[in-house]
Amino acid sequence: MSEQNINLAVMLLLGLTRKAGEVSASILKARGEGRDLTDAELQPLLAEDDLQAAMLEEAIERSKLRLADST
Amino acid sequence: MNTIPWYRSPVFTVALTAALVQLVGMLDATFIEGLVSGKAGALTQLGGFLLTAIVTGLRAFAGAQPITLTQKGADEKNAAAVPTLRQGGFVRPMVLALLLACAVIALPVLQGCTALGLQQAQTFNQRYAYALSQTTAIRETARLALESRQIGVADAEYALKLTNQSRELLDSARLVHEAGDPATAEGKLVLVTRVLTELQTYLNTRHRT
Repeated sequence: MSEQNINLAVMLLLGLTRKAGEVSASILKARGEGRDLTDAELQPLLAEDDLQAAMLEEAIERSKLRLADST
Repeated sequence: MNTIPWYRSPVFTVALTAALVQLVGMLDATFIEGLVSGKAGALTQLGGFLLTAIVTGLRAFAGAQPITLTQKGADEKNAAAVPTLRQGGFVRPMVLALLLACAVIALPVLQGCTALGLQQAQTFNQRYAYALSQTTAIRETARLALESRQIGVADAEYALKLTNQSRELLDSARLVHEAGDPATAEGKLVLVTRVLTELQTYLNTRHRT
């Protein structure tokens, strides 16, 4: 495994752990109040996912433009 | 030159202790979670750490020297006067590989979320939230990797495509669950998890050439 692969693997692991931690905190709070996660608590997760999808799409478009400019 | 048997080696003893501690932690996480407080796992880990430290200290004071190097051609008279202890070939690759596999990789993985301090998902909404958060995390990581030129455009497009499919499956699972078919909904969640795991494996093996 190259250094680049390791960097990417670590980035991925940290990202996954951080997001899972956020969800875990919500679950813990809900359990403390004796209930399940509500739709209102799921909405920010959906919004964040939509935002990240849009940002990834934009990054792809920018990269394509940069590649086109460089050739 | 005296030798010590492999099972008296501090390296082996410490590694075995660590493996046993991980095993106890796994059993705790798997079988008695919920019966005792959530602090049991942390206490187990702490106890394991202390046990490992004590065993290491005892072995050190017992006089077992891990490795003794003697320079070839050195003063042989003095070397003969001071008996040295050499490990009798305990560093066998298979033993170390087994210990590594048990203590470092397999058991912590089996402990899963508990080892990381994450709450275990018990309902559909909680499993849905975890799967959704993993989709988001992969999207974010793919973007950062693309921007730092660690992956190429094709890889990022592949990540976007698969995460979009995962999101569609998640939305579908939620609708099915609300419609009163929990088994199908859970099946879709499992499918999402598999897709995301495959995507993670794919991203981990990719790099920009």
